[in-house]
Amino acid sequence: MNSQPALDPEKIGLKVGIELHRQLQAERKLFCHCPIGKEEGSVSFVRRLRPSQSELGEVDPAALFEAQKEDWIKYQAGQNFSCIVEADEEPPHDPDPFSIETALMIALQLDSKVVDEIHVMRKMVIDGSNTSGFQRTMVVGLGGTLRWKNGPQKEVGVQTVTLEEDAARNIGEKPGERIFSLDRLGVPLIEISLSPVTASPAQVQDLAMSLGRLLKATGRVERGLGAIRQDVNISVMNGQVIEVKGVQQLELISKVVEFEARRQLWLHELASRVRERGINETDLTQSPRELTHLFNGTGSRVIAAGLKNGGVALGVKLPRMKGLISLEPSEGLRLGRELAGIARFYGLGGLLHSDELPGLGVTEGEVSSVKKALSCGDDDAFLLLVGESTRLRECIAALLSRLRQSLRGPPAETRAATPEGETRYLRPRPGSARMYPETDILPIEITEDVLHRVRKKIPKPWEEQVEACSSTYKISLEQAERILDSDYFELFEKVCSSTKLSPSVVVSILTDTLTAVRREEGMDVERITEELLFDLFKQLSEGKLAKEAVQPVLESISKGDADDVPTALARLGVQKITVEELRSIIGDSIKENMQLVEKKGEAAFSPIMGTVMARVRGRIDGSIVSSEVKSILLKVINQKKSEAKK
Amino acid sequence: MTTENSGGYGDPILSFLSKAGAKVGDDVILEMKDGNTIEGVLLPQTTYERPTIVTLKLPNGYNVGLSINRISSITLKQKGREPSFIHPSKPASASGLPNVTIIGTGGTIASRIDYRTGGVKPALTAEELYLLVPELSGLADITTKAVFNVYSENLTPRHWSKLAEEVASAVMEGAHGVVVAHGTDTMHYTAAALTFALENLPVPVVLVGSQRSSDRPSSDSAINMIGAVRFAAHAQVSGVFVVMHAGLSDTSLTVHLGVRVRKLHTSRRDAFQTVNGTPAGTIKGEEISLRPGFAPRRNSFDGFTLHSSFDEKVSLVKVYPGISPSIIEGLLDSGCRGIVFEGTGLGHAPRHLFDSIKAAVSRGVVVAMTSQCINGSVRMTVYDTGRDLLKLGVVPLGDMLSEVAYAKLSWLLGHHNDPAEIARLMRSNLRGELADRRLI
Repeated sequence: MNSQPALDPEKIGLKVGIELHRQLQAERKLFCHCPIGKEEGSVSFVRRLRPSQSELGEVDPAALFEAQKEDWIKYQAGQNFSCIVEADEEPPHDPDPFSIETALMIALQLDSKVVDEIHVMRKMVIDGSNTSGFQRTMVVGLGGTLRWKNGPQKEVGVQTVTLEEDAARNIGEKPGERIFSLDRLGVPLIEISLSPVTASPAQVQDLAMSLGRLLKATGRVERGLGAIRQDVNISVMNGQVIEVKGVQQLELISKVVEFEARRQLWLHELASRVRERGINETDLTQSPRELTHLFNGTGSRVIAAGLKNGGVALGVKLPRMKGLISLEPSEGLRLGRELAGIARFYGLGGLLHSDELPGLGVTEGEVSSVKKALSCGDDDAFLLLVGESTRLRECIAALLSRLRQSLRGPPAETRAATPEGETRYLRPRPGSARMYPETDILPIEITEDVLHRVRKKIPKPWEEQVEACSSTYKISLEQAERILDSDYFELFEKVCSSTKLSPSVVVSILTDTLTAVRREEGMDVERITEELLFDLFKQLSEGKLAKEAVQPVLESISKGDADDVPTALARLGVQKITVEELRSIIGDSIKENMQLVEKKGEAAFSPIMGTVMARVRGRIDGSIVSSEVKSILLKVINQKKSEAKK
Repeated sequence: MTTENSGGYGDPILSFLSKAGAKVGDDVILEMKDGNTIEGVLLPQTTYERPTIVTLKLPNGYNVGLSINRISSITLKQKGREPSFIHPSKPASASGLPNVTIIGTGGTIASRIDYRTGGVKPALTAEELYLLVPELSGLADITTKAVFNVYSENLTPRHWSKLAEEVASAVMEGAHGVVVAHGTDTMHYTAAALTFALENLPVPVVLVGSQRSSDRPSSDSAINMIGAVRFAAHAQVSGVFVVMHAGLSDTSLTVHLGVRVRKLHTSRRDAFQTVNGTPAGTIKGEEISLRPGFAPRRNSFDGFTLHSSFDEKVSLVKVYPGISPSIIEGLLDSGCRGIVFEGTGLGHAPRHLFDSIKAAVSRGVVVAMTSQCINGSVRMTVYDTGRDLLKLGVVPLGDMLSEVAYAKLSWLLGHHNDPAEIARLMRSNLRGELADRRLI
């Protein structure tokens, strides 16, 4: 898609609203006194959730769907980081005061109107990620503004500042059962919703970064993968808003916005093509027909698998849709793919359509008998699905509804961001009717006194922190910004105060070197803990390894070859050597290459240096190697010369 | 504006609302003093000690409290509509299903939420129950009856009498089983009381409740209710039982004998445990398994007798270090007829209470002893204190639970006057409330 011309946000009416969620660095969870940490634990239990019913006719589509699945939910818990509050066996405790204070602090920094009484709400979530069946959440501030230095507008509106509990961690899924770990359930999260902006994908990413920096400046937010999640609401051409959930890395935001904007533009384009063909809603309201009998002894594996255990085959005619389902104006944008996403959501693996048939083991004969059974003309298309009858019918109804919506452009739905920066269908957009009060917790009064105390604790803004860091450690502003943006500022400060290493070297290792290691394949950078990094810096400053050895050591640990720095050094054979040892290695290298030395004289320096470095890289400073090679080589050459004279 | 829909607001908020003609449930617009406006649904006041806070439900569903001091005016945007809970008709249950009467006492078995205001509405009729717990329609032909509407901590022995009468009449009207939906706080007291009041029950009577509120998707109310109705309709036993969640998982329920069960946890789903014995049985999915030894279900009313009187002049007194004799003296002054002690250890009370105990016994008050250890039996011959208490006329109650002893004494005093006869009956195993053996 890179070859395509850049999107013009104004022209396509791109509107993007960011919701940023970030875990707080609290001592305890939001509604109980458990400390925060990671464990899967050995206690397990299973539950089922029933949606609390609303008034009839206001059934939440997302909740209804989850309820229809009738899955068991299995919870895994340990004793360290969860208790019976997480198991929904005890009422919630009063909210963590530190988290409330932090949320107030952030609200004040964003000029948000802090409410006079915080009410904890229950937001229905019945996918199992909350044992109670709801997520506890509270609005702390209403409205506000975020300053945006590099944006097309200098300020962005804040809609709400909320404090909520994180959900349980999904750790597995098998047919009929979803598995969650309770360690993450209840971790305090701050959520900031920004008003939609019209800006380029790169600018949107910059906006998310500005907001992230404001949070980071409090020094009270959690770092690392999983601590930040961004939801992005995107629409184009005044169309429906699509919510993309779970963008975990900042660097993915521009990709996701770009992909989603192009996807929606294409769906608008597709809508006009469909309308051009005169296709209307009635055309897309056909009843499915059972076609099981046409596939007795079929050679198609997809169909045969779906028909096993009493499955049926259903087909539905799509008048005048021929060619539109597999139309692919650019890679990844296909109506067929959109429909397959819905089929997957209903747990159906195989969705076949006429644009790709015959094929996939379905013969021409089978295709024509399907066409005949569905009375398809030459311009008509059809969908063919196999599986359990009830689920299949529900799925076909959803597919037809999706196709009817395609007459009007992209439908409102919730999508998930993929690690590649694309989006995939997740579920229908939840209705708004999902909140009711958490009656187990009294409303919390926020007085002017409380706010006064919080105001005093507000830290310096980001820009001032960058300047202060630059002048304290005598590093450039750019370096200061990089280390503050990284997850390692605290470690950086600790290293600088307890070793004699140059701050600029520490910045470079904590940013460039770690990024380089992260980019290589097969690296599990989670193995590089802060303790390990601190140990590495200590050894570096004590001269136990050379700067050159840092990257190989980190790579060795990420690959799982070693668990700590000394083992990695031993494995790599890069323990520090003395100058004497170096000299002897240089001597050996020169001896081995005597012919070259005799022939080239001083010009033999580069090849000799190369041979020596291959043996000592990381074990001694490169500049020492260079000067030693130079002086020994010169000595040998002079010796040879004097021998020749003799 | 009437007080009824003023939502608890007083001045200064009330005068703002009156001026706007707005009441609780209406969509209103708040003009803030900083020039902004905030829209939402006006909700009742939540905290009475903060009379300046207006509670509003925002369009995004969140509730917030805003001080009237920040508001310059309130205007009515739209009158609120009443939540239109649809009253479904009762689905035809398959013919031939057993009749089960569900008696409501005030606990919420199932509820629906009005998301516009966040209000919770309990399901009261059989129709509403079927709608919220559709599984019930395949288990039994259900009749519902709301007897009272009180939290279980507010129930008294007088309520037990009324409840026993209602259960008896449901049985006499042909119910194959009766389910009593009950708040969990005192469910074990009521279970014991009904056990004594209903002699020779021909069918099962099941008490059921929920530990986690029915307005949460994770509530144990539906699974407990399904199990209770299944048991009432299909178990081949008679008598009074408690059916509640077992363990952490939603896979099984435990059946407890009504005189052997106690609430042993404030909040867990499996709070109810059989004490000093093994539970009566379990329910896993459709399967009910019971240990042997219970009276079978019968088709006749032979011997079925209602004894529904309970005397309220009974006290349950916990013994503790430093307990004052004035507590007992005060009880005697108030006309108390029976005292159940929850003694320490094997059934002890301190020596400085002896005079007051002696006075009680001499006045014809029945004084009985259970243990606050909950598990185990009293044995008052082991130490001097116990022996002396026996000499004073204190009735040792073996391994009877103190709550059961309290209900039993209240019931016996409702039907007998002779303290010696009452003491004899207290020591007799009438309904399985006493056991001779406690297993390893």
